[in-house]
Amino acid sequence: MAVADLEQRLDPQGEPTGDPPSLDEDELLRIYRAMAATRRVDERCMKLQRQGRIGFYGASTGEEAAAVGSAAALDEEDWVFPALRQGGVMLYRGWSLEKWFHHLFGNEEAAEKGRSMPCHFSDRDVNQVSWSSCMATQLPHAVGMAYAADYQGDDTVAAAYLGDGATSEGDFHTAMNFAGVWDAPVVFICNNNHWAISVPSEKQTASETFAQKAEAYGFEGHRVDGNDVLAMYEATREAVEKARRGEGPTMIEAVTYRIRGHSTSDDPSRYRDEEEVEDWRRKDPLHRYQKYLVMQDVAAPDDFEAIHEEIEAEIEEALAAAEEGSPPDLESTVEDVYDEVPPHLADQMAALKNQLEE
Amino acid sequence: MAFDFELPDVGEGIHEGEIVNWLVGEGDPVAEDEDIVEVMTDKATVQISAPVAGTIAELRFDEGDVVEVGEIFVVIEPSGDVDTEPQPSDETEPETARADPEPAPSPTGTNGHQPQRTPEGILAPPSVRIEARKRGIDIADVEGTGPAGRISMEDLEAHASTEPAGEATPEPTAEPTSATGGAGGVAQALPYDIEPGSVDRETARAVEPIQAATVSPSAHAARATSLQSHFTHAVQIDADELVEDVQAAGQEDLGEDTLVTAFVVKAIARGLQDHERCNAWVDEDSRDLVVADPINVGVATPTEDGLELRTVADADERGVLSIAGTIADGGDDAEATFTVTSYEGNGGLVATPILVHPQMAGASIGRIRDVARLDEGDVVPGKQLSLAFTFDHRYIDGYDGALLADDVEELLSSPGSMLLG
Repeated sequence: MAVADLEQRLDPQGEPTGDPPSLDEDELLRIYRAMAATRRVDERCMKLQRQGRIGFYGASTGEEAAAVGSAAALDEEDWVFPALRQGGVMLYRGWSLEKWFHHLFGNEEAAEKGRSMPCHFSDRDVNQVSWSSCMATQLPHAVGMAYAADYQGDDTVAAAYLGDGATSEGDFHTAMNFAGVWDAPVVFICNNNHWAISVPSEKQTASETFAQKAEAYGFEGHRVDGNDVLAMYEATREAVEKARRGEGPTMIEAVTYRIRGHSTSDDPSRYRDEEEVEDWRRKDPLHRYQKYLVMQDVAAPDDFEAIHEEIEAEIEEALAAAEEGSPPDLESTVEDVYDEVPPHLADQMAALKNQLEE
Repeated sequence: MAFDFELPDVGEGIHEGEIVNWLVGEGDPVAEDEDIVEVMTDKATVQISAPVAGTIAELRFDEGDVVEVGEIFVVIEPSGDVDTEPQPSDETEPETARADPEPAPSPTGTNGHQPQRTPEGILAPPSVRIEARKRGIDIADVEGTGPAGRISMEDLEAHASTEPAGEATPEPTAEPTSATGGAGGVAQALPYDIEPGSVDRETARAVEPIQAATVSPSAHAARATSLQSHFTHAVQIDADELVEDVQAAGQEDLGEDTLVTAFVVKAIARGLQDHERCNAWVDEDSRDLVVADPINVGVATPTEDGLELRTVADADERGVLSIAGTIADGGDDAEATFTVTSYEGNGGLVATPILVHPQMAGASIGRIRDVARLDEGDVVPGKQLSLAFTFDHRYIDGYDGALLADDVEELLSSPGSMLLG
């Protein structure tokens, strides 16, 4: 079987290669802002972790286009089932950096009140369930939600994100099969960033591409340049529109690269060549998009400056707020699961308090 | 107020880290988020940046030192008006946009801005201290010409040129890859250019960080297993005569187990006379094999307070009863050159002896068991003792190890000659 062509809208120099995008200037800049904010907040958080100010972090450097481009094609009512590295999706959808930092500090002000793994964001306000470190578990959930929406007759679409590693999981195949059988309004967005922690993507599958797996389940798969934000936008837009029309699921393989380690606990120099990383640095999605925006007269370099300064100020403010935030109340550890705290948990809390007083 | 920067847990469950490279020196101004040091942990080498802007007041460790998580390793004097603003990211600039997970070292890390240290009231950067150690020069003898008497490399050169040659005994020159300056922790860099095997965490059932408890009971063992290349060679020894001799020699104050141990110690000590490379230490800094002169056999002996190492000095020159008495009395005050586990009568078939770093070899005694033996075609009952040797394979190959084991086997098969000196 022939390898599917890589769908592109911008060549690596930022030159448009196909039809112009169906986006106005404000939307184009909103996309840029979310990508730049993701890049900068990732850099800042990596430093904070090394200083011991936050406990854990995973950056999505190099994958900003795959996240933001696809997010830009979703409606506000659509739901997002992320894997990891979908911070750009949340930022595009209007999530605040203050919430971002409160979460990382495990503060009372965070939606999860410090009870989730750091850097596993979620918020009902942006219709996003938690990032999932357990691979592929989010995919059947996404298909179930999409099926339910279809059943109820509303036109919500589920965006189900995964990495190349997740395609080796049983849940992936279960989700793909049900999506195909039910014609569920779901879009699978597979970030093929070439590395599942230390396992290279060529060890993940014997298939030529990840996109072709969709064919076996009876729906379309597209292989898209994941570092081309406009290609990601257009491919996702077509898939979302198709799903909304009731024509079933699509899988998008976003071919991209994880520039940094898997997380702050990982040292990628132990398992991959710096040369490979250098090759991908030259395909930087932000750089490519900046060139495009300048050449199309959408923005001048000064405009980027201004956007970066705004982002910097927002980060400072959000970080300061989070560092001044307070830890959640002890009682909150037994709250929010049951409507009323049941007796056995109340007993345990009382015992814990006694022990702490001693 | 000074900001005491404690070494953070930069991974998940990191216990300690080695200072690889200071990127700033004492007195240098730093911006918040400016990288100040490279630290190597079990998981990764990472750059740590300053949490606050200010001036580096104190670097508490040298390059090569191992710092525990939570220890204060840098003191920063914060200032509200340092002229080094946090460097705005240029990652997203049109002309320079690139994803760079490894920012270039700060320009303050170049020569001339090396960190100054004051552990014994002497100001000298680590590079100069390391060079001084290599050349066997006591840093205290060098006159510093820098501010506050700081010692520069030029000062060291000047001092070296005025010293009569041969006065100082140079330490063995360390290979560049092992110039870690005497880090004693288990996280010390491997002294060889070993490419570690990759671990497939993606398919792991669980990942468990190494716990302090696993390491601390025996720093020797941890060092041995992380630095030394263990290979084990085991022998089965006909022990009929040994058992008879032990029973004959049995005394009220010396148990039979101790006597078995003493016979083995004696046999090994005699064997080591002919195989002196097995009676040696390894100097990890120079990678030299240092052959010991005395044959001092350590006996790892279980006590109520845990395993105790009792040393029998000059075991090759002493009789079995003297050796047994020494073990029973708590051992001699001497540095062991070879270690044996004591005979407890309950050993398994073979247990792998773990080397006691920096020793080159060691042994563990199995159990004496009843066996059926072939004697000229007839099956006869007999006693058999198993004995396992471990050697540092970097220096002792299988052939040399087997020669020692064979000699010890022969001695223990007819042990009578060892009773007296």
